Formats: sequence, C-alpha cells, structure tokens
Amino acid sequence: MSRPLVVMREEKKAPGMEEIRGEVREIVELLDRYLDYYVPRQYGFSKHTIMGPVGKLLSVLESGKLYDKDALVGYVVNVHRNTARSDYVPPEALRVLEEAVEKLIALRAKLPSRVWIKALREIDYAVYKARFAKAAERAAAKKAGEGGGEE
Amino acid sequence: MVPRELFYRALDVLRREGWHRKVAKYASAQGRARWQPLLYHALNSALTACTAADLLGVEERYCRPLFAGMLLHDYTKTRQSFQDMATGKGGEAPSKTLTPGEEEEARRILSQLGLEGWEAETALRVALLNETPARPVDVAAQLAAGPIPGKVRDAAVLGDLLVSLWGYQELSGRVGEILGRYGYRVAYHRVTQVRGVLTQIVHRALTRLMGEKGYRPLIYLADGVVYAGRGARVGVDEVGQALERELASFLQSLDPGRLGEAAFGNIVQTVLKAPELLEASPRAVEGLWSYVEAQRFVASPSVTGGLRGELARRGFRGVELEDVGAKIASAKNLFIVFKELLSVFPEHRGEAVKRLAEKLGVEPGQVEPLLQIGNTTKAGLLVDLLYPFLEKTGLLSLDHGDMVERLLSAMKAATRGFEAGGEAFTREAGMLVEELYLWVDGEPVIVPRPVKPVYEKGKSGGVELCFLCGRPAEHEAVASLTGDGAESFHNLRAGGERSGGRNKAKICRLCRLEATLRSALGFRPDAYDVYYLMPAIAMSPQYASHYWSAVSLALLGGGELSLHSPAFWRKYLDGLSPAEVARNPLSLHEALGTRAAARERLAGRLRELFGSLDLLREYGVEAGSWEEAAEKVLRGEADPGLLRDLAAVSTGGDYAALLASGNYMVVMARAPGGRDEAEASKMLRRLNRALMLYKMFHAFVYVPGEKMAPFPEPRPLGAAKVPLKADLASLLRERGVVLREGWVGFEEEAGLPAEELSEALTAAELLVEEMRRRRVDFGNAGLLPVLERPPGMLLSRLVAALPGNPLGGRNLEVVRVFLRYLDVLEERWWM
Repeated sequence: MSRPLVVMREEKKAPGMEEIRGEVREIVELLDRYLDYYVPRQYGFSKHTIMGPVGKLLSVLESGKLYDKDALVGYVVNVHRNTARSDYVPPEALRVLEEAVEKLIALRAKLPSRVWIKALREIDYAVYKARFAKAAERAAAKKAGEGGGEE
Repeated sequence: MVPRELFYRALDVLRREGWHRKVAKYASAQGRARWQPLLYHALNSALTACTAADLLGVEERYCRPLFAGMLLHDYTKTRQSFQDMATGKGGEAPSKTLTPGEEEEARRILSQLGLEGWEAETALRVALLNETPARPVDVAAQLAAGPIPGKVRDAAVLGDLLVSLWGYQELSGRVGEILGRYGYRVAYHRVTQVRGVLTQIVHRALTRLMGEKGYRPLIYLADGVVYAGRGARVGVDEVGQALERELASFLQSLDPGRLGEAAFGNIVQTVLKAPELLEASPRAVEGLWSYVEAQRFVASPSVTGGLRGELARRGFRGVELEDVGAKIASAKNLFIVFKELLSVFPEHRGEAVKRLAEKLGVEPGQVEPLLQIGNTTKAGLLVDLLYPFLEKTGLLSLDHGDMVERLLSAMKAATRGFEAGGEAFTREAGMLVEELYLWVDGEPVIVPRPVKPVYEKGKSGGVELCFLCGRPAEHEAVASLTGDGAESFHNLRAGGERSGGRNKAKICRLCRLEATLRSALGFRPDAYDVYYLMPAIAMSPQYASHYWSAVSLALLGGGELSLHSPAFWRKYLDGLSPAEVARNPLSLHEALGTRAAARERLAGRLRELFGSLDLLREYGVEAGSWEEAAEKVLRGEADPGLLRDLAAVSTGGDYAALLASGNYMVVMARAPGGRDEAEASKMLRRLNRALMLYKMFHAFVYVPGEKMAPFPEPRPLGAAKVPLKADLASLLRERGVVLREGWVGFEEEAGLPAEELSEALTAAELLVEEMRRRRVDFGNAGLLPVLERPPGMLLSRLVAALPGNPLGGRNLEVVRVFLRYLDVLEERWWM
C-alpha cells in the first residue's frame, strides 16, 4: 500500500489587520485610559516619555520575553512605580491595565506572528497619537486660559 | 418650465437624506452597463419629465407636483433590501407601493420641498403612476391612487425612460410611441469616438443644426444627444457643412498668437508640428514669429562643439569666437524656421524670398542657398554659407540682439500676409461625418462607415492603423503632439524591430487634428492630465451653458480654486456645499473666502476684454465700476453669454483648457505632484482630483491612461475612474473601496464610498504638505507612504522635526492642525 508523500490539510484562515481593527481600538483605549493615571517624574515630549510604562509593555510583548498575564502586569507596575512622580498605582489603573493585558494576550493567541508584530506597531503609534492629542488639547486650553486672563 | 428653486432645494434635501450614497440603477453587463446614484436618477427623471412636459403642453400648475413626484418615483429603492440586491448581497426588487411609514417619510420630504395639500397629493400619485405595475400589489395601489391627466403621466414616463436608457435603439420603442402620439419625431445623434475637443465641436455643431431644423434636445449623453421635434429631415451635406463651420469658428475664436505657438514643435526635431494651424488664421504666422523670437535657440543659442571647432580652425578666438558663433547659430535657426514656413505656403515661396532679399539689401539668389540649411548641415558648410551672408548684409557688425531683431523683422515682413487657399478642414469634416450616427424618426440619415478590415492579406498587405483610435493612419505620431508612445509599436511592425528613429507609430487625420487643437489650447501631453466630466445632472441647454461656463470661470478665475492648491484642500475639508455650488458655481469663491481676490482678478479681465463699461450692458451688467461689474458676474447676475466669452479667453496657471457642452466637459489640468514623484503617488493624487470634481461639480469623472486616446467609457459605473496600478487597486480594496472596472463606487454599502475616500486622500495630501514644509516628508515617494503608515508614526515624525517644545509657541498650532488632518485620515482610511 502506498502512502501519500504530501498531505494537504485545510487550515483556518488567520485573521488579517482588517478583522482585528475593533480589538486593536479597544486595547488602545484601555492603554490610553491607564496612562491617564500615570504622571511621569519628568515631563518630556519624546515618544519614550509619552508612552511611559506602556512603551515598555509593548516592547516586552514584541520580544516575547514574558508571556504570563501576571508577569506582564507586574513588569508594567514596576516600571510605573520607578518612573512616575508617585509610586502609588491606583486600583482603577491596575484594573484597566489588567484588562488591556488580557486582551493583548488573547489577540496574540489568535494572530500569526507577522500580523501580531504589525498589530503591536499599530497599537504603539495609536496610543502615542492619543496621548499627544490629549497633551495638545491641554496645552491649547492652558494657552486659551492665559489669553483670557490678559483681557 | 423646470422649477429651478425647487430643483436646488431638492438637491440639498435629498443629499441630506443620503441619496447620493444609494444605488438607483446598476448593471455591469456589456452594452447595459451603468451605475446611477439615487440622488441623480431622481433629479434627472424630474428634470427630464419637466422638459417633456413642456413639449407635450402640460398645464403649468402640474409642473411642481410632476417634478416632486418624479423625485420620489423610486422611493422604495431606498429600502435596504434593494440596496443589498444592487450591491450583490442578496435582497429583492422592491414593489412601487409605499408602506405607511415610507409614505409618511415621503410626505415629510415633500413638505421640506414646500409642497402641501393638492400639490403633495398629486406628487404622490405621479410617483406611483409613472411605471407599468410589476406586481399585483402595485396594480391595486395604482387603481386606488386616483387619476392624473394623461399628459402628466406621459411626461413622467418619458422622464424615467430617457434617463434609464440602455442604448439609443430603445428610443424607437415606448419613447417614440409616446412622442409620436403628440406629433413629435424622435431623433438622435451619436459619435462612435469621443475625442475630447473635436467631439465637443461635433456635439455643438449637431445640436445647433438640429435646433435650426426644429429639434429640441431632450437628454444629453457623453456620446450623443436625443432630440424631439416636428422639424424637417436633415441632409448629410448639411451636417458636413455644419461641422466645417463649427470647426472654423472654433479656430477663429482662439488667439492667433496661441495658434502660431501651437504650430511650433521643436527646433531640433519636427519644427512645425502642426502647420495646418498656420493656415487657420492669417495672423497665426505673426504669432509664430513672436513665439520664436523669445525662444532660447534664437535669443541666446548654444554654440555647438562642431561649430566652435570650425570657427577656431578658421582663426577665431575668445570673445570673437563666441560672438560669431552665437550669430551663426541664431541665423541658422531662423533660416530653418523660415524654410519650414515656406514649405507650408509653397505658392508664396518666390515672393517671400524676394521680399527678404530686398529687406536685407541682397539679391534673391543669395538667399536661396541658405534655404538648404537644416539641423544636420555640417559646421563647415554652415560657416561657408552664413558668415559671408551676415558680413555682406551688415548683420555681423551689429550686436547679437540687434542682429536677431533685424533678421527677424525682415523675415516677418517677408512672410506677412501668408494665407492658405481655404478649405483647410473640409476633409476632416467629412471624416467626422463618417464617425457619426444620425437617426430621425426611426430612419438612419447617417451611419458610420466601417473601418477596413486590417489583416486581409497578411501584415504586408494590411492597413496601418492609428495607435490611438484604430482608424486607418495617415500621419507619423509626433511626441510633442501625442505624448509618450509616439515611438511605440504599431500593427505593422515586425517582431523585434527597433522602436525609435523613423519607426514611429502612426495616427489618423482626426486624432492628429485633435492633438493639434489641444496644442492650440495650450495642452502639453507631458505636463497635463485630461479629465472628462460627465454631468451627473441632466441639464437643459440653457442650464448646461450657464453651469459649465460658470464652472470654467470659477476654476479659471483664480489660483485659489486650483485643485492642486493646499489652500483649496483645506477649504474642501472644512466642508463645501455641493448644493450651493450647483446653484452658482461661482459661489465657490464665497465658500473659499477668496471672493475679494476673485473679484479683483475678474474686474481686471473684464477691463481687458471690454475696455468700456457700456459694452457690458449688452450682457445685462449695469455697473459704475469694473469691481461692481465683477461682483455682479460673481453673483450670477450676468447673461450666460458673458460667462461663456470670459471662460473662452481665460487661462489659469494650473489649467490648459476647459471645454464644455451639455454632453461633457473636458478639463486639461497640470499633472499633480512633484516632477519626480513616484507614479503610484501621482495616481492617487489624480484619483483625488477626480473625486473632488465629482463631489463639487456633480459630474462623473474619467481620466484616461493614454491622454490622447479617445474616451471609451461614456457610461459611468461609479463616481470616478483613473488609471491605477494593480497594487494600488488592491490597497484601495483592502480599505473598503469598491472598484467596478476601475470606477470608484459611490454607494454606502462600500466601506469607503467615493466622497469619504476623497476626504481621506485630501487629508493625506495636506499631511504630506505639512511634513514637506518641515522637511520630514517622504521625498519622491510622495503620498503613498502617508497612507501606509499608522497616523501616530507620522505624528512622531513631525514632532521630532519641531524645534524646542513641540506644544509651545507656534508649534502648538502646527501640531493641532496636523492632528486634525490625522483624525480625518484615521476616521476615513484606517477605521
């Protein structure tokens, strides 16, 4: 009896970026909300400073150094405490962070690595844009306030 | 008869209802293909029904209900089930009968349009009764609806039938039958090739001739016009004469200086690329000399190495060598132009040589040898011929500038009064007739002559064909007229043969004439793109004339309205009202905040054109100053004829020409993007221009890949079509853009309908512009990288380039503007 040399097995099509847009948006919103609770020790406008602990979280996810949810949350909390003005992490921030990490892990599980890297890049820059936009709004409000005072 | 106010209001109301994103007609099969948005189908049915009502003698009081009723005649197509069916997602054809909820909505729309009581009730009856019922439920509803006069119903049926035409052959069916009952004959003309400028002339000539014969246009299509009338039959000869007249009057309307300029090709290639233009006007030769005078090859020519070496061999050195070399080079080029001119007017040759010799104080026998000079004349012979001549005539002792001036004025005088024997375009007019269908009352008057079969006897015995349109070719293609491809393959070329040299592609006489006319309008195939705008709104001849003239004037009236201007893009994103633009395209200046600049420019142009305010009274403009006159024109108070005249003489920086008829408008605009920008980015920019034109001017837009090739798709399948590379098409599809045979879909079922795509692309163009200012753009890669990178990445690139605190001082405003465009891009493109 001959055995086939090649076996064709139908696999489920992996989702592309178009299918996960909604999830990416949710994660971005959560990470953005988490960063509302993070006040850096020193203000700056570099991407590194603006992203704070979230930047570190995304790089550790990209490198694959840590896999476990608790390990990832712990890693971020440690960065938060060491770089924020106060080392206190509010429970609400922790809850939002945990939810974001959970969603990130779920997303990683269903994506091929090529799309996963692309998704991380999108999340990274989307959070950056959201944070910068907020900073710009604050600066504009402050400037308007100053202007009003002069009148 | 068309209730104009109601039309403008309807456009506004139905756009707000989102009808411009709903499908009314859909078909992709060959011969039946057309996609129409519900907004335009409704408006066109209403407008055409009103034109028909006028013809049938419907009572004036039915005008508004008929118009409003036709707006709503396909109301049930707003149902999701129909939209699903149209976009291939299942669904079903709707019945005509409105549900109680739909009826309430329809009444709400009628009330917004200002129709109440009897008018609203009649409108609802018209909406229901204009079609043969397809289902039992519709029969019952029609019986219960109550009557409307037969003439009103016939006008309504005609309105819908005419705007839903698949092909002209349908006209002999119900359209002919209904109009026949009222004693009208249906006629149509149709061209087999739509060539841009030339076909505009054909449409104008035919519409004028049919008007004189008592036929009135019912509906315009890009390739023809449908008429109704009680007039006499039209003869073939009359059509030929009408075409010849129209062609001649078009050429005479052009500036003779421009004709001369357009006739000139390249001093080292084909010197006179379109000599026939010189025959169109006696002043064209003067225009040619004026153009030549300013050219570098005459004013400051380069002295070639060969000439320099020859002069050095004869003992010339330093400044003297440069001076003599420049004089010989200028004289050589002027004699080449002179010789070429004489070959166009051989009957004047002897007289011209005699006159030139007289002016320069020599014998004609001394001029004759100079007429053998060409671009390939050896330097030795050139010096032998020209040096003694320049010395003898005293030109050599003059300063270079004075020498050129004296020689040129002698040549101008020698060629003054050159006139052709007439009948310059008789043959072309005859050929245009061969491409025409003209049917009157179901009988053919003219049918096109078929092109000869090509390969009857194998390649050697075949007919060489025009590489643009496929007619038998007669002329060699010239790159400066036809653009890239002049040295490309043609049907008789042997395999592996070299492309280049005398191995040129061939073109037919008509394509050559088209290229020549475009050239006379300032079009250069290497620098300009061609946009065909097919009106999405079925216009009456008067409205078409007014509308297109105003569009031309609006576009030409100022650089601010250039589709290439970032200032315009900003205003475009801020939101322009297409309904307002339809009312008066000149109102764009108002919307853009550029009214004052436009008024000033227009005042200057009026002053230049008319010289006296009294002359403006003929156009219904009573004004005490040029500024006041310009303001009245911008408010749309002037006679349409004035707009037409103004548009005809205007030329704007980014536009070579805009030509319009009721059928279509052809816009020749400067190619977008930087000179070396990647072609993929330019294609996206071109697509954006086309989509902007679609949104602003209510016109389906087609941009041909081959600029000179005839327009092959007079039935649009979407908002706009531009040539796209395969990878660009897949990028657009990934973002949800529907591409039907390359046409961008307008329907909301598409993830990214045409108008939203245009906003996304405009935002991307603005982002590139902002980044370019800070030198962090993507160089020649242009627009595409902006659409491929996450918005945050673009932001971080900009922020890194800002000096100091990116949120401090002036930087804050820069960042906020950038964020605004990023948001538009993100919402439309990335979501």
